[in-house]
Amino acid sequence: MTERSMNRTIKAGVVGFVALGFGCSLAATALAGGSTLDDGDNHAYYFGSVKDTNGAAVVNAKVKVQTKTIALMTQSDITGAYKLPILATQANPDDVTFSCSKDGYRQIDVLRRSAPGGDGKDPIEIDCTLQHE
Amino acid sequence: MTSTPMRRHVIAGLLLGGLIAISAVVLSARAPAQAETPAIAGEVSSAQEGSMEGVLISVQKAGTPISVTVVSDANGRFRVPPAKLSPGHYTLRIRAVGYDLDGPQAVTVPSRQAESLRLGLRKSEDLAAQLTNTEWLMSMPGTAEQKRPLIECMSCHTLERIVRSKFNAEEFAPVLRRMANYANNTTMARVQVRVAEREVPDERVRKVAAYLATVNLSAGPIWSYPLKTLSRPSGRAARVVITEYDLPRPTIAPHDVRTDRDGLIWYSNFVEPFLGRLDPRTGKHAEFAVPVLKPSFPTGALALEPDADGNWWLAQMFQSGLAKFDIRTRRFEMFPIPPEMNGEATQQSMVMPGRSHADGKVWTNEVSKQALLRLDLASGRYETFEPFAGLGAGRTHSPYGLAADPENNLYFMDFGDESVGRVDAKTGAVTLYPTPTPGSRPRRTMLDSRGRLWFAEFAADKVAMFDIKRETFKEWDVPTPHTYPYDVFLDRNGELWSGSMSSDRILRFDPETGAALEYLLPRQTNIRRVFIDDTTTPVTFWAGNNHGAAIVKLEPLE
Repeated sequence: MTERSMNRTIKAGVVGFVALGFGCSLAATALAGGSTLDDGDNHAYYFGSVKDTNGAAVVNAKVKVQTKTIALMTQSDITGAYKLPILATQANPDDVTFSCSKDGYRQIDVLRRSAPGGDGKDPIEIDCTLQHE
Repeated sequence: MTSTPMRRHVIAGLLLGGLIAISAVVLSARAPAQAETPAIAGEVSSAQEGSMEGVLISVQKAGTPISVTVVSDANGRFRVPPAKLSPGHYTLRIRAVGYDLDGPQAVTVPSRQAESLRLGLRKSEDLAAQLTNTEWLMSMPGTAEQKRPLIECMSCHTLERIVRSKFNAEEFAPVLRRMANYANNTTMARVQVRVAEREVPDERVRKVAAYLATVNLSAGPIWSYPLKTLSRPSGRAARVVITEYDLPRPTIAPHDVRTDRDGLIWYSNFVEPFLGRLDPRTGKHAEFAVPVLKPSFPTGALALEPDADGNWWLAQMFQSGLAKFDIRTRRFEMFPIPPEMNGEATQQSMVMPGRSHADGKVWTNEVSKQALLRLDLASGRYETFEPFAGLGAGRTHSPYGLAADPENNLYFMDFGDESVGRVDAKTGAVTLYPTPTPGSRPRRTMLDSRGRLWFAEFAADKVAMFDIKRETFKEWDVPTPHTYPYDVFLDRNGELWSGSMSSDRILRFDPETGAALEYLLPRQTNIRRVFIDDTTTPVTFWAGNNHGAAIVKLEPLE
């Protein structure tokens, strides 16, 4: 059994539990397996950086990954880097829009560096360039 | 010449008589005053430390459910405010980890003895009985990963119960499986079993059981590791009066506690189908029976929230759906989950009716489906929102703490994972904002008037703020590791208050300066929702002792 299918099994088993409200006993964390509290490296994610046209990091830029039903939003850190959990629809890049923004800047380029598709386990790198207005 | 000494005698005699007369007046003035304002005050010390700061002294009048607690100052002195006392017999308790009260444990008020008590403490013979859950987690060997499952155990019982057990790893396994099938609204006083059985993966059980057998008494009569303790309160943290109101049955499990406009206390009962009310001025207690709609299912409610008219709403847990208590008619109106959506695992832990005037809708959650529900008040229908449907598999989600803005857009905590979420009231569009700290498990929340969402990061030992306009986060570590904060409340002075199931401490924190202090509570206190009454000066903190059948009031003196 691969690690991935194992995770699925666990998830199916604990749907009620996680639940909890309060998980009595080992419920949520213990049994939710690697799903909730691991370091995140077992799962795919979006990552990348936000830079200006001179290649300098843009700090605290809003980074948004969006489909028709859901948006994920975070901010770039002091090095211009960001990280977001993956969307299930990531295999079809047309369904996903990616944007970055910051007051005083406008977005001029979004570059997806990772190949689309894959088995859904690999991180996807998307970089964004902003220009001073 | 002969007359001179005589005169002197007379004068001396007059002076003396005058002094006696004055003294008599003073004495007669003091005596009745003493009877009217009884006092309990004194000093606390031990052979080991001399005068002791930060010792909690609790007094409880015989035949009443109310205990009052004060804390000794840097000179070991303490004084119960006279306004909290009336003539009668009082029992005395102390809390100072490592010590027990030596000598008399009762005092009569008023009496000369009660005015200047000399409390002597001796080293405790059973330190383990005095440790908080936090102190057990500090003491136990093991990795953070190994200890993490234990934070779930605290929902129903203390960790002392685990570490005093003698199960080996093999014997632990069936215990863990049994525990997983108890409802989360279970206490030691009232165990409730889930109707929908939960399967527990073998590998997980094996891991947890193996670890627990290394920290309990399976290998011998004492623990293999030293017991670590937290320091006693000092300085400002000792300037406080704590009042505990014992509730009339040990099975009452107060979960969310709030005051109303008249200063009455209302609370949700996590295991019994009652809404509770307490008058803190008189100690008078009343209960209102909530109709039981699913008789063979666990009873009790979790969230208690008012709507804009002051009516109370209860999230009905495994009874499913919502209950509204009309504050004028004193009647419940029930909003059950319709049969086609109502299964064995259906569970509503949260409710947010605060902005229902905006659109006639009340938000709740469906724990068993990792979903949010919205009740339409006009039709009684629920619509389902699945905020995590677009996310990749392999992660666990659970919408938990709820807040609504003036347009009734919903903000929710993903307690299973690490995001603050938003559902747009008009479009249903979902936005997730992962917290800066991964795996934070945000729990309960409040939205302040400036559009800032304050919340507790249960698994990260942090309190946090999300600015809903700027879409930015701030996070702060709580001072004591292994606190696992459950909830926060921002008071009118901009100070943040928090409580937990593990440390028996109330955090008071100034986000502007970073200054923090922790008030120690007199007893083991399993705290869930925290609430501040902003109408008093200083503000008054309220919470329920979920496992201790008591309501706790904390009045800082500054």
